Amino acid sequence: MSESSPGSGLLADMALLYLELSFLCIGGTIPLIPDMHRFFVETRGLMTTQHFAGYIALAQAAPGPNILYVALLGYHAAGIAGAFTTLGAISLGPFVLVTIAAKAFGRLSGNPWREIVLRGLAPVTVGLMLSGCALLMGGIAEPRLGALFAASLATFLLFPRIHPLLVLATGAAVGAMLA
Amino acid sequence: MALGFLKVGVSAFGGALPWLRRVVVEERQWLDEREFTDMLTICQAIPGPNVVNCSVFLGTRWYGLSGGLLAFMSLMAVPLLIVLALALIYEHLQAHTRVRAAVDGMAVTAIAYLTTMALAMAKPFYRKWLASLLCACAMALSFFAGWSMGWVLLAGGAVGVTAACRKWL
Repeated sequence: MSESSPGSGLLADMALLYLELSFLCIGGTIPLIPDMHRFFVETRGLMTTQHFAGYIALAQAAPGPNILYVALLGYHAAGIAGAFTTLGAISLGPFVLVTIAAKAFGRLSGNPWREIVLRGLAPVTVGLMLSGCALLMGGIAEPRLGALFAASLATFLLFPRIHPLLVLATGAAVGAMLA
Repeated sequence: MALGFLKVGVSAFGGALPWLRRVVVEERQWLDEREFTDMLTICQAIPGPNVVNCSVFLGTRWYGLSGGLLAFMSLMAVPLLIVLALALIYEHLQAHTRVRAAVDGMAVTAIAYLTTMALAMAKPFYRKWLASLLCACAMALSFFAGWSMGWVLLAGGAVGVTAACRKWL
């Protein structure tokens, strides 16, 4: 990339990546994490896995839709323009489809195909989500953090009623103590 | 309407859907329970986060395209500012090992939370061997073979939908 135009090529690449992904994000944006991780960490080297995962955590700790970590990834790579590019691009596909659906309200409900497609895609989506989690944990490769992961996973599974924010805060405290 | 979605955006900690229901059904009574469920069913079938989809859906239905845009903006604007501010603070404090370590700890917990969500989504199908195999294959293709999401969805989806058609899933 040239020095004079910091990131216009990068902005275009991010816009393309997220436009493509925006039509694929069935079941939220978590299944997209492997592709995003590949772009930002593996191929472009724009950030470390720690950064990547840190932004996911920040978006989860803050109010609002969790999808906002997408804006943070763009922000890290290319500033405010980057944030608007990634968030705008990832939102465009769903936005177009939803506005179409809103006009055609009623025609979609009760379609047996919807059920079949969702049932067929669910295992694939979950596989992608697990792959994303494994990629992130693999990038953080630190045994003590691995133990923290196991402990928080066990907490979430065994005590589903505990508020996620409480566990997040505990994770932050434990992390700080490990430093 | 904008104020309603603003409220959903600001108050939605860790999963905004319950808040959307509270504001739309209980407080403002824009929809009744049944209408809300119908809308959710439609919005879940469309790519994208459910809460964002539902907001755009309602905005578009009431006020057309500009209503959809307005709903999107009011849902996102304030949380976006908060998150950007947090990221800014985080970046300024990067030099402090303890801050970095705290965010690392939080990140690991967040990944555990995502894993929990994935496992919860696997509940309806994990006893069916074909579905579990498909799930493992999708993960392996993405994680080990480095396939991009589009290809995994295409290949896995073809198998999955065919299997679901024949009631194997």
